[in-house]
Amino acid sequence: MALDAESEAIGTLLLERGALTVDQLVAAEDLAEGWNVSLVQVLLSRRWLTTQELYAQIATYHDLPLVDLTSEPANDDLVRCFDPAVMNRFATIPLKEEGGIVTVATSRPGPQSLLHIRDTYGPRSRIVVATHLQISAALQQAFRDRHSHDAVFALAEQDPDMSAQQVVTPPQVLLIYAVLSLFLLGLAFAPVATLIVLNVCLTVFYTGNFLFKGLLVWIGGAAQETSSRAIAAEAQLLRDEDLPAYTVLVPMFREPEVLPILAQALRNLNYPLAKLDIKIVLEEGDHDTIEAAEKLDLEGVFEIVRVPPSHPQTKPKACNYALRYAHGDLLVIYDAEDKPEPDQLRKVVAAFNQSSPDTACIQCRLNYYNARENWLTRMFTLDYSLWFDLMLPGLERMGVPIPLGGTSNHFRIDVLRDLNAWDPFNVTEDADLGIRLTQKGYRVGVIDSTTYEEANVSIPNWIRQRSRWIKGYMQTFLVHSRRPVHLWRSVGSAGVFGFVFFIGGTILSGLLNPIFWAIFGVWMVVGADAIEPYFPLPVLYLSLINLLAGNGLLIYLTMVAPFRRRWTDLAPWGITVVGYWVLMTVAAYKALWQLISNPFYWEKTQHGLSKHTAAELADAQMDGPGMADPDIAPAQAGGAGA
Amino acid sequence: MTRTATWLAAGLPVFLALLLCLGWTEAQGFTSDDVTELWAKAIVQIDGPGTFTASDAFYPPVPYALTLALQSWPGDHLVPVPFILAAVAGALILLLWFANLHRVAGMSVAGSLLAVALLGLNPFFLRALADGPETILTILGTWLFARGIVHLRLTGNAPDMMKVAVGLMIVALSDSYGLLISLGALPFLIVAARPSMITASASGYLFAMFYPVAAAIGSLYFVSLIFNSSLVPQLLETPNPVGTAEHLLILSGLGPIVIVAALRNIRTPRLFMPVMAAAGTIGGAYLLNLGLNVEGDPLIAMAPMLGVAVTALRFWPSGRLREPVIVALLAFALAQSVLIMRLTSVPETRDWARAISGQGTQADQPTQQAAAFLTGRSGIMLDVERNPDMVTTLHNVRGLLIAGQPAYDWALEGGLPQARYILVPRMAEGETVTDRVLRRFPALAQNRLSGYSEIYENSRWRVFEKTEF
Repeated sequence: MALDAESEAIGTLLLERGALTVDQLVAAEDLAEGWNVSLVQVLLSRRWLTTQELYAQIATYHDLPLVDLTSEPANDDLVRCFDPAVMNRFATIPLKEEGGIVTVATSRPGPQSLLHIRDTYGPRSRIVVATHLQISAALQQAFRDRHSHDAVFALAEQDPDMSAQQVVTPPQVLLIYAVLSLFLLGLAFAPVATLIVLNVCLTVFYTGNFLFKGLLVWIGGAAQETSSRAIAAEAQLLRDEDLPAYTVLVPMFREPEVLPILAQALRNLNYPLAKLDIKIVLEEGDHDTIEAAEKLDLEGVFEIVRVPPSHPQTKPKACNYALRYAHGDLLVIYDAEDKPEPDQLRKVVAAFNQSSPDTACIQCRLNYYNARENWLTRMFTLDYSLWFDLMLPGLERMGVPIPLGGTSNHFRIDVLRDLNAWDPFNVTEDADLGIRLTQKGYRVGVIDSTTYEEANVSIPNWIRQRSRWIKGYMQTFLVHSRRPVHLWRSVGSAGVFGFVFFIGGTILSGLLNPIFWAIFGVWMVVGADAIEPYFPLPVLYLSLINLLAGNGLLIYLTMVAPFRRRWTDLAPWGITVVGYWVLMTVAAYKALWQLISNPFYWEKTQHGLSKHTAAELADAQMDGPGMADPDIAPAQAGGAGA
Repeated sequence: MTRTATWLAAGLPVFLALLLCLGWTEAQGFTSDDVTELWAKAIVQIDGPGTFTASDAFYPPVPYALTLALQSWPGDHLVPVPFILAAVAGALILLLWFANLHRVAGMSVAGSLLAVALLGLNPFFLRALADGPETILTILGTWLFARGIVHLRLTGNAPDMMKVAVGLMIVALSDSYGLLISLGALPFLIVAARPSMITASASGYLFAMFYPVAAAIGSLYFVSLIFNSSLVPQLLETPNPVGTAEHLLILSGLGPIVIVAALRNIRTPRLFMPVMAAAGTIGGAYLLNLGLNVEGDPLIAMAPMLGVAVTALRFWPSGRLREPVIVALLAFALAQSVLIMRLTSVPETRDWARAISGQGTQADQPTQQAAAFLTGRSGIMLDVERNPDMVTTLHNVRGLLIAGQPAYDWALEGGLPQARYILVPRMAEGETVTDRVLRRFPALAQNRLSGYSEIYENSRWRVFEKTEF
């Protein structure tokens, strides 16, 4: 795509004024043509000149004054008179009104903005230039309270049935009460029969659970091979100029140490940096991380979004807040320590192109870069390999609602906004959103591209993290089972079945395991006499099948899981998964207790504990553009074009 | 529904044809020891008293469990239940082979039908069928294993890994010889593996491949332990002395077709290596069996090679002469197998070959005569686990006094026998006594047991009646 006249003129101006060298200008123009973006967008994605310097030249070119919104802040009352979404889209903001003349700041002066300003603020408006980051910050300042409120309550107010704000609804309370009463009555009047019935239900549930998981792995293992090849092929053929703008949200909290790793991982993406809208989402009070981010002097495509303090202080709330300032057509969430495969965004674009129009989200796989650090990281890696490499593709193939993983889920931003995005009251907002998307008639796809994360290396830290996940699954189960008929109508029988076994099964197996282990222990120590009254022969046989074949199968599935990645050295560790189940049980009971006592509390997982992270940090600092990039780095700058 | 109906419509005549074949050999006086034993166990377990305590292993569990399930079906079972199971499994295998050759390998309907007919008529297949569900399920498991191992090399995905594991599990849990097949697979799994699978850890790869078999056997041991049963004693069979020439003859039945089909892909290592590995697995098991005698009949030990042959033929490269060559190879294998059956010196297979060619054997006549003599009598003390042929001839255990009943246990544990009749096998001079009643009361052999006198005898059985009450 040929360079537009404005870009050419600005380029010439920058050259004449010595802001750019000839080589830099040539490289920037090549990128702008290749990426189909303006020269300014390319320059914002480089660090050849500061944002302030760039905007000063833009202002000069348009013969407009450059204002510094930190010293000349916008009138918040005036700003609030206009639609924040429109202001965000056009990168404009009214600063003040004097004598009926509105002074409007824009970061994109040009014919299109001029028309918009005339239409919105009147023909006599006075136009000034401000940096895009300052305009965004001013918008955030003006709409701080409103957007903060919306980030927390939009879903609960507009679609209360889908919000976890109310942990259990009155009908659910009644149901739980009735079931408990029935159980107690049964124990009072027919204790043996009641325990047998309970036993039968739980045993059948266990059998269903392991059969379902076996089926998922069978189907999931075979799925995707063809589609993966097609997606990979299209991803390679995609032209940079056709790629959509992409918002990358990176919610962080007190993690200043991993910022360089994150920045480097995002720079390594095989995607035009100028088409990325990267938002590092930080809590306002997290001064250390904010300071560290500012010190990194990141490219102009990085923006720090400061989330006002409010309760609940959760990641989904922060993402909801940042979503209001997103510019992309697609959006992805990464955690701070994530290392996505470089071609991931391209594969997602290809996957959206090849998917049906109702596809609203593409989930990528997650796995760990420190898999072999200790027993826990090995087990965690087997767990994730089973979950993301085999089970999720199986769910996709079977049409079962997919609980999204914590990161690397890529959304169509219009759908996300339409559904009020994430539920800030749900501590596994991603899993909940996956189910909600399916209930709302959208499809979630799964593709073969991996984001590598840091596996938890410490058991207490792991239990904190897992208890939050299980609590979130409990919330998700409670939310989506509120209207069983609606659920059945929207996701079908297979969907309900899968939802019950995949979400419910994960919760229930963790809670029930110790009970069955105890029964088994009693049987082995005391003998069959102690349990025979509660285990009629058919139930005993079924329990025995569960114990031997069921657990054997689950162990085997854990062993199969790493084969797709050829990590055969991890397979024998699958035999120790029983120890991992014990930890899951501890986490499940902690989760249950928290659901009752503190449902919205977000158990923070501490990152950066791995020894690999220190090495990553050193690498990132070595590879950072400030150290490794030459003045002109066409190869890296080209990124996607290379 | 239509698809299921089509399968049923196609499967029914095949099932009936196989059942007819089994009925024909039975009418000629041949019933394999495995069928007799399996059916007798099921009769005793289902129709016998609830107190019956088996001392023999429940191994192999898959055919045993299926036979028990079918035996518990109400009504008289005039057709041996293992025959029905073997015919169902045989029909299923033939249909699966047809589907595999036609749909997956892309052979024409006529070509696939002809190929499957030649496979189904192959004496190794029919002999396996007559040997009962244990052997026929072993062929099924071997085929799954062979398919899995080739696909695993091609794709490396989880379901193929699971196919290998399921295949090995089926063979290991269907027949004691299946354990040798699993053992035989050990080195060949490495040969067949994708290089990328064993780069990280060959031992990890093998560990995961064999875990299902190990877990299944471990589980059986556990169950055996908690139900006070046994597992090992039944594994070994009496060897049939066979010379080297005859072993080579047996190998010439199915070996050539597999080797030719594998060599056809010699320039495609990802096909050649796993097919050879599958063939090597059966070859390895056959070799191990020479020393361990888990399967007494070497022809039965070679029968699972049929599953490998089908897998090897399925990957025969496309070409104009593909189908004629496949059919010709199968026809050659059939002819060679017929020759082997005619020449073999292995007693049971020789008897079967005579039976299928219409030359009746009178082997079961003494048992039938003894059973006829016992008709209408009750309180007959019999070691049913060591004399399954009598149980199957009687069709029930109503008049028998067996393990688990106080009178039987009392006598076997040192008390005086109280049974009205005692039925024991006639033993030749110097023959090892396996019958536990006869071992407990050796005086019966000389008709000198106090309080009992012989009232019937033939070349196979002796019946004693209590004279003192």
